[in-house]
Amino acid sequence: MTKISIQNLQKSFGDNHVLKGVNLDIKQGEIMFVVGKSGTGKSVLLKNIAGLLNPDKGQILIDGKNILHFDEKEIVELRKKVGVLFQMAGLFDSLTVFENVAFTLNRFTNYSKAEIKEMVFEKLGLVGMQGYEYANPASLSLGMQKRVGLARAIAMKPEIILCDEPTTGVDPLLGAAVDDLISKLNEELGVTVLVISHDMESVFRLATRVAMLYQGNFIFTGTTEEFKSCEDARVRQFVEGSAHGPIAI
Amino acid sequence: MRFLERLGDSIIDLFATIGSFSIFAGRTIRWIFARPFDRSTLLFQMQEIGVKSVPVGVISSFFIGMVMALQLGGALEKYMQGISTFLGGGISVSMVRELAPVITSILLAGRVGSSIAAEIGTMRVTEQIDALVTLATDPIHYLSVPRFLAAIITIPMVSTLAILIGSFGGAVVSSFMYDIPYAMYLENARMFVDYKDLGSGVTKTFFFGAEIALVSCFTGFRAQGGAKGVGQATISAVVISLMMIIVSDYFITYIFQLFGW
Repeated sequence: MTKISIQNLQKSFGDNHVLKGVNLDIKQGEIMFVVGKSGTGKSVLLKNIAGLLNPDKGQILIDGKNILHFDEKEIVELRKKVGVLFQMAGLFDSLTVFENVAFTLNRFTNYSKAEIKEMVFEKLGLVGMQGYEYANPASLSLGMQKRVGLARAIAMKPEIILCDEPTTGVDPLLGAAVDDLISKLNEELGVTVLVISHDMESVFRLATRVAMLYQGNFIFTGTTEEFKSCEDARVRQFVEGSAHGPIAI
Repeated sequence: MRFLERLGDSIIDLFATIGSFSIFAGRTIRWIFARPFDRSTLLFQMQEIGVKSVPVGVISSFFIGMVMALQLGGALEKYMQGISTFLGGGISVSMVRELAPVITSILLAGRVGSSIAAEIGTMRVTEQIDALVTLATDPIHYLSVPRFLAAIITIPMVSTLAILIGSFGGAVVSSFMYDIPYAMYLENARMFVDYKDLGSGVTKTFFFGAEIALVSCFTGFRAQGGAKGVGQATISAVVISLMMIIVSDYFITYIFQLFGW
């Protein structure tokens, strides 16, 4: 079953045509990686799905409904079902780690304080951040912030998680730990995950399918095995991480 | 030709910004009545904007009152011996109607405006505002509304305190320099100042508070491009707030005079 369907999505900033009519289907419960060189519009794609940018043209269907036609109330309800992990974590630095994770639980649920505390501690335990509940986000490393960001993203038990470069800026060990965490959430909670990344190790460790964005269009969509054996010179260059090839640096 | 093009672009940009600001102000006012209402954030902002501004407002107005007494007393004594007994009235009317409300608001535009714009601007460039959106929370509701309410509630309070302290500053100098007893100063002040003066002075600060909060939040939300963008937003917040206070002061005073205030 298709969870997210992107159809002919176009987005430009002035004369810069970032997305030139992209199409992508993401199935229920899969981990889809969107890869590509920096500046190819991966984050723009994620921001369109997250509702942070409005596309110029095209459709974004979630569970078969075009979210671009949603009214304010439907958008709010949709956002409760979609968790987003930002590249720089996006934690509120005026709140503690606990308050960050409890943010939506406090605002949109009728749980008691004790229940919310239990849920926040559980989520922080899941991401290995127990003991940091009352720390200020600014005092944490980026890797730790990302784990707290992930705990916040899953606090409302979302059906979809969107991750913008979750392993960028963290050491390889922590990168692997973040990947394990995403995999665990996907298996245990059955969430559909869209990951924007250019970390090839992560792709081969975690992805169910991969799509490669190049000059505003997808030039490859398929499984990791197909990605590895793809003959397209542009895909080969990216997989091998070579500075020489059709993709200009 | 190129000059005309640039001028045209600037005018279009100016009107676009005014339009965006009007929409932003309208949305802030509309969100006041929406749920959930975050009382703890409002109280926190009242402390940040109001309580922490008390020392600035009180110390400045005390010295302004003293300077007023020195200047006015000296000028009056120069022309007519003994006329400085009217200092209480002169200083109090100036403090109540104009000096304390405007100068306190100008000082708070610097202190409060820069702080709001820098905080929201930093949130903008560090994805915190995007995060709010994805957490089903309208950033205007969460960030702008409590600051707006805190400003329109506390800035008139700080200004009222500044009026009292400024008048007291005038009384201290009048007593030391011109031998005017405190009782006479107070009696004279009560003779010249009525409730309309107080109403006019304090009501102005309600509008000044709204201007400071809205302009600072607006410029913070529009910050772009890292630390430089945050700095630019902070400068814009302070400069635009100051200009708006001074310009709107004239029009508010004019309207009040039409109604006999």
